[in-house]
Amino acid sequence: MATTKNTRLFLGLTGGVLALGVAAGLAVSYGRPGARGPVGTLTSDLRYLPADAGLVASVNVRALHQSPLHRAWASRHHSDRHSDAPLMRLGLRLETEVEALLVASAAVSGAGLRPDALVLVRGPVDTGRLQVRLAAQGGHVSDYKGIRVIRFGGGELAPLTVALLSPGLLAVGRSDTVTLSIDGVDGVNLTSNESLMRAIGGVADGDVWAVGRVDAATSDRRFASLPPLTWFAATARLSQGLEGSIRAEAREQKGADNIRDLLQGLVALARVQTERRPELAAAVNSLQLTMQGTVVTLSFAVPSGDLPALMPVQPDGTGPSEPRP
Amino acid sequence: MSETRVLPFLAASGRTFSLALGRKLTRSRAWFLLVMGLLPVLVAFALRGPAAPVGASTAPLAAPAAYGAIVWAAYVRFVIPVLGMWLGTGVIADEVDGRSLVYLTTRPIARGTLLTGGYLAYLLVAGATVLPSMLLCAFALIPMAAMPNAFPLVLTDLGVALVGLAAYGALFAAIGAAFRRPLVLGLLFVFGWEPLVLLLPGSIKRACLALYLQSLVPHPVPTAESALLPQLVVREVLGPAEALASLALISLLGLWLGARALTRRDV
Repeated sequence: MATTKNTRLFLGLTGGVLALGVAAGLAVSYGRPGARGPVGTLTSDLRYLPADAGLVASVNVRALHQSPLHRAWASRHHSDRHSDAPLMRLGLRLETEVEALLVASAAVSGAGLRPDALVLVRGPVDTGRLQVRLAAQGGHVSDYKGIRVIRFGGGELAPLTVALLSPGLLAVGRSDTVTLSIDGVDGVNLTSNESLMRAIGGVADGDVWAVGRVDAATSDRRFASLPPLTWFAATARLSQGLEGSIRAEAREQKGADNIRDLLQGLVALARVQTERRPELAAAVNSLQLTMQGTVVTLSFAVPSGDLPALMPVQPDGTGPSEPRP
Repeated sequence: MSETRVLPFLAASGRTFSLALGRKLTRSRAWFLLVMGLLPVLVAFALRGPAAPVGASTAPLAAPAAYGAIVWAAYVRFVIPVLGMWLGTGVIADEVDGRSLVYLTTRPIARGTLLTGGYLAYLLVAGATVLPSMLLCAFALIPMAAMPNAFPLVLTDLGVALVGLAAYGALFAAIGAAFRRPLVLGLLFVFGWEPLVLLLPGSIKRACLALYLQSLVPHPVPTAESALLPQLVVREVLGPAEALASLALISLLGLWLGARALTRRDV
């Protein structure tokens, strides 16, 4: 080989740095179990969410669309179109342009998403087309800190604001929520909240997950019958059926005991129901209840073949078979 | 009279790779490449000072914004296109300048192997310049506590850089094989065509390699405060599969066109 001393020196030096760097990075990342929290683009996306978020949830839309759960749902529900969904009204094509959704809200509410919710949409969105469409729908296009922002002052999309944060990442929410998100990306943001990040790290391997602070919600008189909780975390993997867990942390040991007893009762009731609905037996038998300190965990694993039985009955009569006499 | 046996494609490419590697890394060029690779690292260490956002970060699990900004501004928008242009056009131009092209074309090898061997040497040298440099930047800017989460992103960056170097290199190797003054065309493309067209609306920006490369970058576009060149970053994005497939196609097409131009070239 006609390599010179210079060539060997250069390649040896740079190759050595590269090999050492990759080895060190791999050792730090994978050498210690549990060292890694939420990974991939999620880590950088979380920087757009507020540090005081009370609820963070994520849906891997692509995995959901390809999952046996979605196929089971589609087989029971003939209409798979959600034209009234906010994202569809923005002109986003859910199946081709949305890969994942990340939602943050200040607190868990009994009435769904609060108005302060911020939705991050990740996917190969045609932002040029989206911008034209939103402007045609009355959106006011401006720049905020170098980021293209489209605000709706009136019309059916008011008071929504859409920000084109980076290639493949949009923020949708109220105007003040979106601007706060842009302000926080290089400063204090959700990644500053260590306890929440730890909780997310425990569930982020799921295709669908949610982490929330529920102390405020359970103090609401509508939830007065529930034991006082502090946090919940839920995660589900969808590739082989429906497998996951729901974890709740009670404020005190007595509360945790009460939750466990309540869930044990519900599981026992479900088992009784399987005598009339044997198609649910596999799903119900997969339920496992565990308690560790004040944390109660209910895990489940439903094979893909049993998913259609879990689908709700449709008004037109399609759905799981009726109870046998 | 015995007929001269033409070397098989792979064997010939291996020979030309070896020759081109020695020619690419002359003493002065090796120093220049080291400086080019170290410049972003120096900027990274400068950003690491007490006023830098990373030092003050309370976000141990986040890939710091400063690292993302360096990847965008230094590598994606500058180092990768410039190295691709400079070394890529040199794949054939170096042989012309060194007056070795005439000699090489008399050897029993297909002319296209001059391009493939030179291109592989380019990829090795350019990769050896950019990848360690990016890794050093990552270690300079990302705290060790955040590294477990950030490292998969860093590995993605290395892959994106390699794909970008491959595409830019193939394009400029083809230009170098087809035109007499490839560096001028390269400069016009990198500093004229791409920044201009990326700002234009419509689908004309698909004629920019930068669009495909930027679509693969896993970091958020830097905000105005942290970016060095925010106005040069296109906000349109393609799906990663489309971007990757396009860059692969551009690389293959560039090599094929370059080999074809070299075969027809009057030396």
